[in-house]
Amino acid sequence: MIESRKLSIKKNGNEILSDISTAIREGEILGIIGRAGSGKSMFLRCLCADEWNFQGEVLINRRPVRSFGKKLLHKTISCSHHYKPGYLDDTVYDYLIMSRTPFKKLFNPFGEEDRLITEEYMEQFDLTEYQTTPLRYCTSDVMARIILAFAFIRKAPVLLLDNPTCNLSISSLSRLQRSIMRYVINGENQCVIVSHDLNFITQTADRILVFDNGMIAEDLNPGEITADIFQQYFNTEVFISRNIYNGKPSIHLYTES
Amino acid sequence: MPRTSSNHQSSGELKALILSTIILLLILTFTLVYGYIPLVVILLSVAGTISYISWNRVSNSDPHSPDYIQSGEAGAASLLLVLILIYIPTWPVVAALITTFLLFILEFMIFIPATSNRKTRFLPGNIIMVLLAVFIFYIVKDGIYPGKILLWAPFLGFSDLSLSFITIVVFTGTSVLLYVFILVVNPEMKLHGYGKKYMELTGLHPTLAGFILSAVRSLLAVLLLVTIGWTGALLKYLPVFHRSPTPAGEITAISIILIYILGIYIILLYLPAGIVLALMLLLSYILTYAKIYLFPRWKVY
Repeated sequence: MIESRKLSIKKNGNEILSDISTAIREGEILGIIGRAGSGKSMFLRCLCADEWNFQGEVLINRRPVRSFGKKLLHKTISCSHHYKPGYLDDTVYDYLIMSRTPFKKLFNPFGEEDRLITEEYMEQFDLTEYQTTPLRYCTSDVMARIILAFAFIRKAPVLLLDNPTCNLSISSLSRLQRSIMRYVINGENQCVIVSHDLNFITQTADRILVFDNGMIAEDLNPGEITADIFQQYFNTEVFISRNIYNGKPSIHLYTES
Repeated sequence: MPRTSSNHQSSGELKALILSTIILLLILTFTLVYGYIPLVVILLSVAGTISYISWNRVSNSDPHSPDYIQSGEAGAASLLLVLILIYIPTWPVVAALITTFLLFILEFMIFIPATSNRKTRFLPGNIIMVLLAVFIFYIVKDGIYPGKILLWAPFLGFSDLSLSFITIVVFTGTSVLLYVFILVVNPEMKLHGYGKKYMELTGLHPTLAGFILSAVRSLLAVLLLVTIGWTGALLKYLPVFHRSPTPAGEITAISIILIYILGIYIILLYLPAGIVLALMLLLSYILTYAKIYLFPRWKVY
């Protein structure tokens, strides 16, 4: 379980996060939504100890995240927003297998298990045909899938995804959704998704936090989402229907005819 | 998982392997039978070739890596080797190694991270080259350089054949050991090239990794200098390297480098060293700046 206790952070005198306390249970998919600048991404950065200057605590299985060594931290948490390679000459396969580095001994080659996991996720994200393609020749949709696959391949118990739907085509979105659900199905892993794609969050997450001014304004089940919430926190008029297959809410904008 | 078109790749590699091995054997047989090229030159060329392959792998962890003249590595090692030949003649290689390492820590851990883009990437190397030029000008002008040592020796590697056989064997052994080390740390080097965040995956502190890499680079720079000298810098522009080579591709590249180095040695027998050196330097600048400004998409490994 990953939890934050009274998590607060200030930057240049401004309070970015204020008193955030929440817990994400094993097997849970938590969606975080909110206006731009509401503190969603900063919360994610604190969870993965990318940001250290916070007050309060972030605990993973009751152990403070700040006490984790770097290697153990990367074995435990995998975060998608970190991973944009500095150069693009390696092939997709050579790049993706690097995600398994925390599990290999220093100066040792990757093992058979690392290869199998890499291949499994290449297949899940439909990247098999690109395995010998250099990263620089990949389209934005393929590159977005590669960066997501890199995060999944770690198979860390905590998976953090920051705006994972950016640049994804509709078929890639569907693959991502399936992959997230498969990832937590063992009941041991947990996933936190920060996104502006509200429909993706409502259709995928088990629980939704609405952030506003660095605080948790609402903590809801997807079924409890109402149009008033969007009016209040996003200043946008929407109407909500139900997905006839799963009963989860679908959000629609009023468009001028 | 089977690679796409793996059969075509394997047959291509096999052909390249057979071809390069035949060329290599021909050169060696010719050399040994007719004795045109001394054994020490062959040994130094082998050490130089292996050191070059290792250096190329290390430099590929830097996305905008130029050849080793433009990166300042040849300049730094030469500067120190010249200084040491004058003032500390007893252990020149060891002293060059230590001082080059200190200079590289400055370059690769401070200057390059601060100027890490394609066009400014060459500034630190060129500053070192200017320092070297000024220094050479003064030692020649003031007559400080000892007459018994050829001025070009620190630049042309094997043109100075006064090194003892044992020293050359040590160089060759060291270059092989370094090559093996670099093969072993290949994943870690790639991560270093991807960026600081990626390096954290190894559990190694990025600064420590940069420190180790600088140490390896200085060792390789000194080895390259005492074996093949500045002339090897142009190898960077030969289309025989790949960022992730197959074993056969690696052997092909090694064979071609060896042929190039032996070819340069033969040229040096007929052309004055100063002219060869000036030509190499000129070509290095032309090719590097052509790559930056005229053909930015030109892939150089």
